[in-house]
Amino acid sequence: MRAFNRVLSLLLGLALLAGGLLVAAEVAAALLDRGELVIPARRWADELRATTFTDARVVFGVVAAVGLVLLVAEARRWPKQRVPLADDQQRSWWLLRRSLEQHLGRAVTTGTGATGARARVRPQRRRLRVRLDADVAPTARPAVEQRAAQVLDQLIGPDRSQIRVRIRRRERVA
Amino acid sequence: MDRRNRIRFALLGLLLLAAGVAGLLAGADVFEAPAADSPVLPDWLVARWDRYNPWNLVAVGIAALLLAWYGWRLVRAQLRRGGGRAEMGDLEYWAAEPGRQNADRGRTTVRAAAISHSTEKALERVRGVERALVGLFGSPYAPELRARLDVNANTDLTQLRRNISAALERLATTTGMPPRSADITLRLVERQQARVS
Repeated sequence: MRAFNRVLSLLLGLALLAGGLLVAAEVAAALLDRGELVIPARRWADELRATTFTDARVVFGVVAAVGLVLLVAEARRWPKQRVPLADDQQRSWWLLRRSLEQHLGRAVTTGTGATGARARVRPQRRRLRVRLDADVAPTARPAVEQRAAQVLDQLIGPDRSQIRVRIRRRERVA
Repeated sequence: MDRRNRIRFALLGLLLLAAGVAGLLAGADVFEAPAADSPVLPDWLVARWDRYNPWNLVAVGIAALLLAWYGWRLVRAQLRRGGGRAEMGDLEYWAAEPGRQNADRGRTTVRAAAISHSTEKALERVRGVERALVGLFGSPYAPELRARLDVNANTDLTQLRRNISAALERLATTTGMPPRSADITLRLVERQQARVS
């Protein structure tokens, strides 16, 4: 979503830049009695004078829908990109959440009998909430939990060791 | 910058939603005025617009130029590194007290890019760091350092942090510019190749 917002901001900025300059040029042409350059302002004004609110309901509906989608997408909670590691003196240390998730998934897959392990990490104040999805036999569940906790202890530190690990078993692997 | 983008688009979404809903309500004849069968651009508004000619055009021209300027700032902010922060200027060392002699005599200038590149190189020499990207922002005498480091996933991060801190302190001693703050983000990567130490 952050990358999407950045691209959208870039497009919005380019549109405002080009549109603003174009309108300024149109205004200059109108003030010098040169007529319309590109924007058929007169025709658009006539069309708007001939269009009633009832006629434009579809347009208003689309505008409201786009606004609602944008508002909901921006207002909802986004997962944090970084997990806080430590703060010492003037230095703040962070770990990229996605890289931690990938590493956890790999570590669980290679260190236990689980296959296709995928981790989801959500930082919550001083703790991390970790959810692991893995194809694993029920008997291997403690081993997977232990392995994930061991990796997290090693990376994040022992003071963050009270981490809840949940495993969702999808299917039994023979 | 991410927060600003988010606020900007939330406000834009709210504005679009309000305009769309208002238009729909007017179209459904919920309001007394404007009526559902009245034009979107009413005649009284056109008459008022024409009354202020040519100042209406001047106002629109100024507004358009302001919007173009805002658009330019928006584009520049998205393309700039460091989330819109002011990049650090060059570092200057003076041999003599400025004002007492010719201020340009005995002046050594170190380019900001050279400092950030040397910081990257210093950090890449730390065992466990595979790649470093460093940005320096604000005053060159007390800059804000932002680093993104690709680190070997099997490295002891506590030791790595100590080594990185030591490297940054050495660099601060060499340049004489201790960073006011440092924001360091680590990305865990699988080791790509064997390193010769």
